[in-house]
Amino acid sequence: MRSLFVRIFVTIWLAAAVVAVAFAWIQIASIPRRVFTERRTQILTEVMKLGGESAAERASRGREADAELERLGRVVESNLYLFDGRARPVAPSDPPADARAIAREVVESGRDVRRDDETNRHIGLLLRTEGPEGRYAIVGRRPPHVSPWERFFSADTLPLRVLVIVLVAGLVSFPLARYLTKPIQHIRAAAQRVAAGDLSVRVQPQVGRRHDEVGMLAQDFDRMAERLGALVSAQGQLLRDVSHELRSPLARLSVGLELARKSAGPDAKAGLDRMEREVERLNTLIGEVLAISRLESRETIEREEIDLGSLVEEIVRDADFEAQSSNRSVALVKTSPARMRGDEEILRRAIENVVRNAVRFTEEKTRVEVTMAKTENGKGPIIRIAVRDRGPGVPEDALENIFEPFYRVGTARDRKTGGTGVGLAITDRAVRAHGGHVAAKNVSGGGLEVTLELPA
Amino acid sequence: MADPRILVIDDDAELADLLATLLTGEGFVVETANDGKDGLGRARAGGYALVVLDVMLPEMNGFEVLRRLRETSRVPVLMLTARGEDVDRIVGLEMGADDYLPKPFNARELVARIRAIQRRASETGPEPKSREEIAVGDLTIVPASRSAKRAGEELPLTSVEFTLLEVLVRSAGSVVSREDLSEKVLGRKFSPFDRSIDVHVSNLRKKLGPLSDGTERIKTVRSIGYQYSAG
Repeated sequence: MRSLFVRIFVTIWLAAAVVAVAFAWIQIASIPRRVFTERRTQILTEVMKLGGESAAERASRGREADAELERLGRVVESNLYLFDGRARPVAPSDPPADARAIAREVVESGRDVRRDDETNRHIGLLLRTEGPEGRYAIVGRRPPHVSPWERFFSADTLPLRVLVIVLVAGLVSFPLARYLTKPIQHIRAAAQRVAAGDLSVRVQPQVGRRHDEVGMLAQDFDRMAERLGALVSAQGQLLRDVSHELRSPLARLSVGLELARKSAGPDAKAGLDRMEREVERLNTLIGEVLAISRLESRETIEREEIDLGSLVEEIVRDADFEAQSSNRSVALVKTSPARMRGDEEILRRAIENVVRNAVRFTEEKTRVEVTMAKTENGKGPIIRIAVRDRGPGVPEDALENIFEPFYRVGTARDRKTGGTGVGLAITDRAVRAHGGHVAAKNVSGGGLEVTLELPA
Repeated sequence: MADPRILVIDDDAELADLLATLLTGEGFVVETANDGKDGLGRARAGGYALVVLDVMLPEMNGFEVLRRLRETSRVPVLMLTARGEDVDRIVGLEMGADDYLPKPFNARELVARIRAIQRRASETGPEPKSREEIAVGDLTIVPASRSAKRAGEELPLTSVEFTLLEVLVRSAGSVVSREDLSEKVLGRKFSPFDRSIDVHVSNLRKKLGPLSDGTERIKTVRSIGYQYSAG
């Protein structure tokens, strides 16, 4: 019973059921308790005498008396049985054994009998009639008092009653529980999307214009998401503006450097070369920062049909070409034809970054292995591209962080290998923009495997 | 021969001036324009050996300038694309630029690329004076005049497209690797992940149209390069 919906539903349902039972009990308990007072016995005796005589008379004329006895019995809340002078049943024709015994006693003793056992009170009366039969005996059996509870639970209508209570209580509590928990589910789903980085979600359209606490929560949630979105985009905009503005001076710097090279003597060459390298590094960095902030600020991506199979093939071919110069290699060890809709340039960059990253880290004389396969992930068909290197891997606790911009596993090593620290972050954003997912894991036997999953 | 004239279209006046100084030192005559409209007007007037065109221009951007320029002129264009905007580089080539360089660029690289385009544009085939014609199927190319005809109809090829076609047609029936194409057509060593050749091939295919049997004239040979169909 962990779900709030279930809790509310069951609580209200139980409460409604208890209320229903309580009302029923009050209703039953308010019926006055029947007791065997002397006065009631007296009335019963009188009714039996008069009714019995009338019934006996009918019987003696050969008419049927069952119906009359039954009617009378209902009036005095007793069962009435008529016997003849030799204690043989007259009406109804099959009295119970206890009534027969009383009748015999009455007939034999010629006196009225009154007997109580643990459940019933029996009264047996000797009747004399004008008719040919002469004597008759009537026996009245008064059933015991039944407690309201006993009557409530033992009655043959109990299953029906329980069913009605269950249904009505359920009908009341289900919509109520739903009404209370539905907006909370909406807000939760929205919160999950915010956590996943989608700051454009708003819950008000789903929750509706409610003026209660839940409605206010929805309103506050939307305001929070909006503010968060504004802050994040302002920050992204700042980064973008700064990088953008840096491009112009860098372009001028590069030209100025070349001019300086022409007029400077040979002594300046080493220094100028160094400056050129640093300018180049800045150029690359700014390009990547702009690329990632563009990906992050992008609302939608252009989608066209892409032949992912040949895209991966091209990337592997180029990466292998590049890797050969450093005595490493890249191979597509398994592939399958796959097409998807997306932005080819962005995906090319995403896959390229992973492969080139693997080439940077794989040991010399080893091979980076790329596999591509179509498979399922529970949500539908996906294309899985895995890139496995033979490098040092990444500490387990850093596996998720490597997709963050500028995250460095080991400061010194990364500098040496020449990464900007943005490549995998670009991959992550690009793949997510396509509704996919990126993950990294250390493979037994050494090396890192980065997996890209894209919806097919 | 007079020094070749280069037009630099960039809204960053300081950069344009620096480039003018640099390129003048390399033996070019440089003119600068600081907005797209002015640049387009001057480029259209003709007389330039090459146009260096920045993508990010106020009002009329570089793509628009290129598109309008290509309506009337086939002057070689080197695009300066915005680094970080990955799509730009492809778009520029698709629209008929001869080459591109992401900005900020390495100035030495820029000079090298300008020289490569220049060299190619002034090339008049191995025997300059010859009236050599190469014909494959319904296609005829004349290296001396850098013109190509398909079924007698002149094809509007840019300088880089012509060179690419020439290289492919000269080896019609055999595969030319991307490395070779890069060196012969773009005048630079092949660098992996550079797809300039592929984009130029794709543009060329569009202009050439398919063969009469509906197949491409230029076939892609996976992992190697391209091949002009011999048949």
